[in-house]
Amino acid sequence: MAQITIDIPETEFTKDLSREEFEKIAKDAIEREIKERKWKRFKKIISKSKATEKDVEELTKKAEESMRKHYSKYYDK
Amino acid sequence: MINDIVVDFNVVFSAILGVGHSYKIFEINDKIKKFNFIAPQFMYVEIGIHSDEIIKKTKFSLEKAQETIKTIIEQITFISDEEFKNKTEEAKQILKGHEKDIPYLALALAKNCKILSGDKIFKELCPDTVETPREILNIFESLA
Repeated sequence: MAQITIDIPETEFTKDLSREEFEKIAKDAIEREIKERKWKRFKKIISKSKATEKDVEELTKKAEESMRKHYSKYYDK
Repeated sequence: MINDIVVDFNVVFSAILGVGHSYKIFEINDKIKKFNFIAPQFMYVEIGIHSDEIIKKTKFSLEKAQETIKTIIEQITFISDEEFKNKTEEAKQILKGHEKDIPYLALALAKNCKILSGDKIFKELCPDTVETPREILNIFESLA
């Protein structure tokens, strides 16, 4: 896990928030921003997808047939 | 409290291939952590097997396909066969001839949780267990 240092005026700790609370606020904000960026990138990529619903159905059908075969060994005894 | 919910191939492939709005379920849940998405371990293997087809159908570059696959599968906990194989017989009885959904139902029975699936027959056979993507989005909207 990487660590970062944030400079905050010392007097701020004596007000409403402790050092630990500041740490949590910063950590939550960074995590939120990372997720926002990740999903923004994801949506940009999929907006260019050429796949159709038929493609999804085709893939699903193949994968589910393989999965059915795999798990049938547990009930087709 | 975070609830387990089984996700099926259709929901996962729709999100990875960027078809429809399934990806929104993964995006919103990543931010609010309402559900813990789970799936049979075999799904992980199958996604890998079909990665070339995903590239072919989407026309994504290898790097972009890998990024979309990673973004979705890192939201899912894959469950080993050992944890639900003893429920496959019970699932078979409930589903009668609808064999393809046995692994999903067996996993849901083992974990005592619901299933996210857009399959209409599956929903008819297990109306109280199967939640459609629309129903899950409605749950998210009610929380907003």
